[in-house]
Amino acid sequence: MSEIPFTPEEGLVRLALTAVLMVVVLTLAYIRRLGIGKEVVVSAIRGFVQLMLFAVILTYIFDSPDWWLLVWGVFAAMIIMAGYTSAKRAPEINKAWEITTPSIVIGAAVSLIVMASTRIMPLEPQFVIPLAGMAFGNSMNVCSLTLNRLIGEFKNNRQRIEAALALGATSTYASRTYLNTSVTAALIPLVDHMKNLGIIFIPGAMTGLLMAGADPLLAAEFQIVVFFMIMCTTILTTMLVTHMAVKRLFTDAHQLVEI
Amino acid sequence: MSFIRFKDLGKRYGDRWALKRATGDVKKGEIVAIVGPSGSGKSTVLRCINRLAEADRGAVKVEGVNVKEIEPPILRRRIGMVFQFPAVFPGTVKENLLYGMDIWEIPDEGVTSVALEEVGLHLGFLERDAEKLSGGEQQRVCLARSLVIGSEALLLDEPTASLDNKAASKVERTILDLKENRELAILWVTHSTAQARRVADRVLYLKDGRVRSFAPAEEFDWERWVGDEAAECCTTHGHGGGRHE
Ligand SMILES: Nc1ncnc2c1ncn2[C@@H]1O[C@H](COP(=O)(O)OP(=O)(O)OP(=O)(O)O)[C@@H](O)[C@H]1O
Ligand SMILES: [Mg+2]
Repeated sequence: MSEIPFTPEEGLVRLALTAVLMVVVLTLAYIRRLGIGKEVVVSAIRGFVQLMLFAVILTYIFDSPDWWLLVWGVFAAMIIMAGYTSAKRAPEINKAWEITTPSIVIGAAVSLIVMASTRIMPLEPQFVIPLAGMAFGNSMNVCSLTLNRLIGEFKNNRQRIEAALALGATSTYASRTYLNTSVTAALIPLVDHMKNLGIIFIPGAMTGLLMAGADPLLAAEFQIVVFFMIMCTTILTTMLVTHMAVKRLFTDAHQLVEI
Repeated sequence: MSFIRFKDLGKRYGDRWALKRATGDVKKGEIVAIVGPSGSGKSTVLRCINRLAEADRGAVKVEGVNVKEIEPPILRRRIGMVFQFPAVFPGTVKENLLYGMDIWEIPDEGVTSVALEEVGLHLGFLERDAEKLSGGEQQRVCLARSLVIGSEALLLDEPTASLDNKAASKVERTILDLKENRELAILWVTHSTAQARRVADRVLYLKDGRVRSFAPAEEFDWERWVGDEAAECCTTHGHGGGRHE
């Protein structure tokens, strides 16, 4: 396997050089008054700090003989952040993290367990952590998209939902169309992404493996596995979160809750 | 015997009682008009009856059975509701009618066409896009939606308020016919005194969440309770500075 041909210290210098390009482009944006400057700068700095910190932690974990213990700490952090971030997208639902967190965890855990037990995911931190990150991250995105859309649908269709209830629909029945719309909308980006695999995108895992010098065929196989995992995870998550959200949007007596 | 009877009904939002104590009833084949100023709790009464909202005190009984002992879907099938703004579902008129029939597994066998005719729409409407109908036509579809599942009572929350005069009087006529032909028990919230006078067998006047008067239409003291509003409906204000409420 070929390696990336420079050390982390040399890398930092190159990073600084690309930062110069960013400053130039941002200056341009500022001159044209695009109004994106501040947010881009903040997120660039934030991303830099977070990723560097993460890298430091990874280095430590990769070198530690107790990595399989430390990994649980990483999982816990990922889960809490994901549940919390997703819940912020649903301020209308009281304590939304109580439904986002389990949806994300269960969705992600199912495919991680399958991948671990078949050894598609070798039980080494270099594999476990990035793949878990992908599972939790995608699961979180889809969870947020689903909830956001679901709440929007409920706000826009209050009258219709109550009309359905008034005909004797159960809360599940009355919300079915809106659940389907939300689930579909949340999965569209991923489905489109998968459709165009290898045509427009060279996805992350494959990119990584190729850059690390892996056989393209193996890299592709691995990428496909990753995508199947992401699909299963996100579909599970979106089903779970809608199921639980409906319980929060209605009372047991099939009454629409005010949001 | 009364079909629906509510007693000391109260509903609280936060620590404010939107409905304080409301007692009343309606029989089959009868229209009880619920009148009163905006915010007096008229809609709340209706919503507590079919349990779209949960009463915080008092009780509602349907043929003597407390509604809390009835599964809400079953209760709501028996007691239909029509709202101020027609709430049709996307799709054709037929699909709208089938929505409830699917829930209750009622085979069509002409049920939809009978109901459609009863609300004054001809069969050509079945395949029309419900959302593209006029307000009055949509409101008829909403009425028919309750008829096809065999509702025995109707809760009408200002069903003609969003319609123009002509459509309103037609829908009004339709409801009067339904009362006769189907022996429905009808609770009809209206802000129009004139309408209440035309349709009501009994009148229930609500103010500040309390029933101030509940009497047969001919005995109801229109002057005393809705005097201002009655005057307003029959005179035209020629000059500025109009009054409200
Ligand atoms: N969901 C709610 N949350 C908080 N307050 C509410 C809610 N629904 C109704 N209220 C309040 O309860 C009171 C009674 O409302 P209701 O809708 O029953 O009045 P109404 O007699 O139907 O009025 P209108 O003629 O304007 O329709 C009002 O003061 C209203 O602001
Ligand atoms: Mg009202």
